[in-house]
Amino acid sequence: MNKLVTSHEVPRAVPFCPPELSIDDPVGIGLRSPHYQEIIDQPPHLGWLEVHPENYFGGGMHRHYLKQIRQDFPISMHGVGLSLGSDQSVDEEHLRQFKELIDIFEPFVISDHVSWSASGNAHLNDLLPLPYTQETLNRLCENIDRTQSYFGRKILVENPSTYLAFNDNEMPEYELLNALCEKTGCGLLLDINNIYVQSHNHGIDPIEYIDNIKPETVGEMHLAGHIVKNAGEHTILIDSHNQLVRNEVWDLYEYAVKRIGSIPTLIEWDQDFPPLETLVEEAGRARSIIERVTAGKQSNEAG
Amino acid sequence: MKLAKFQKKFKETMFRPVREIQDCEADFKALFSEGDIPLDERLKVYHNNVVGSLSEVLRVTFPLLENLVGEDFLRAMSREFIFENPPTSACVHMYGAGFDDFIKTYELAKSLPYLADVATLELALNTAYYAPDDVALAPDALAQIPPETLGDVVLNLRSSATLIASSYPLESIRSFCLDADNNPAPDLTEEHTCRLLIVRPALEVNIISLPEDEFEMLRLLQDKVPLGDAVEKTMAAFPTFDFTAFLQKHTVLESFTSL
Repeated sequence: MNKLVTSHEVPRAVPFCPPELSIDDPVGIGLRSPHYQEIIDQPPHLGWLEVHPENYFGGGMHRHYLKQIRQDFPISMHGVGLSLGSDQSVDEEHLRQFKELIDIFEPFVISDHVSWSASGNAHLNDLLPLPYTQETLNRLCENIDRTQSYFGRKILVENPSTYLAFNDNEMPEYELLNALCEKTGCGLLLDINNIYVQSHNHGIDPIEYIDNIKPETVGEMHLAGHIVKNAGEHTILIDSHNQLVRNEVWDLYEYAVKRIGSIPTLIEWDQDFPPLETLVEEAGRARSIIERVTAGKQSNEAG
Repeated sequence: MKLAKFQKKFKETMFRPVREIQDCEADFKALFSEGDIPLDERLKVYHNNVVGSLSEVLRVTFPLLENLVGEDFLRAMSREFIFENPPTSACVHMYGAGFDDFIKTYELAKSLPYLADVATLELALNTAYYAPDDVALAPDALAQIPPETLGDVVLNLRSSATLIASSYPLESIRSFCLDADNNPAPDLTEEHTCRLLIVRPALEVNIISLPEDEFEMLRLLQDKVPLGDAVEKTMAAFPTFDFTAFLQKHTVLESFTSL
């Protein structure tokens, strides 16, 4: 019988992570202020924590806590404000503040989204949808190139949840993502819940989506809960980050791990925070899937 | 439609009342395929995310306002403000500058004349909370400077510092909002001028009530007036101003940034 692989034996070559910042345990959770003190007092069984850098711009209490927490945990920085898909250049001041945090906290991966938030001087504070056209692809590439050269590091970009579909899409979402990786050298933060949401909202096949992603481009995965909203006679899924990960999404995650590999995986929860314990349990569920899949692969290879 | 034009039109759709979503221009609507779910419903999801999340940001930044006018009133007022003054930065926890001036013009708040000043106080608290972490002036720093050049020194207030003068008792309004059981209701019938320094020396934000002469001195320093001139001007207005005591007090309070 095969011994169950513990997290310490899961292959550790993390794509897009500088070797010196490598992590030991592939699962993490989003770090949010209600849990700061508890995490400092009793560091939970987690490999790493993810922060939105925008919450640490400037100074004050949040940075103070993050400095303490960083002593116990590797962190990843997941931007929500670069607005890579805006038809304008990435904001210079935003890059400067983001880079300042990278220099201080040395995240093992850096990411933002395939979406837009800014138009002119206005910032809409949401991850807004893009038409998948050559024009969008070019603009995203310019902004990703600019960000990567400013940071001196490769970034990951996350596939979105969207609630609108464009008539003039020239390619499927996965094709746009693949083109971004190919043209800029960036990697993907594959959000499995977002793929599930997209499949429901736009009638696409989530398995076909995952099958078309190049495994070597994926540097991180996200898992989160969504809600079902009634819209006329139909339903629309909203990527709400305030629920347990749904079983359908866990199944899709297991499929993705089988196909893509043991990739650092994050439980995201951004409102109606549960006890820290709940998040750690969700992360544990991801860890056990990674271990099960890895053990299965080893047993197949041995057989 | 070009990407920039789409984004501009989308932005305009978000920053107006949700009931106007159905009035979007035909060329904008034509961009999207409806499928099973009506376009209005799809756009409303985004409207709710954009306006709802920004209203929530303001609710978190202005807890005293919420306490004074209630959540519904604050949300309605916030929506109007958001439509006219969208954030200009992705750093939305700093969003809300100008909310105090907006409140002065908001018709439904006219009967609550102190409300704008309470908003000014909450903006100052928020600014202090997220200000860059600078270093306080060391107690012996000025002693190191030759006396003949001391008057030329420009003493900077901490990056977290804001000075507020108001005709309303902002501190008692705040105490009452935070704990109505143990604090007297503020008397808002008469004018009570208050002068405050909001500053964050380390992790906690302090609200310091100031006498008139100290307030004037700090105001001059904030305007980058050199120390010698600032003392002279303050003493001209307030002959009893004691600079040594002032300096000692604000060094202890860590009101100044290192030279």
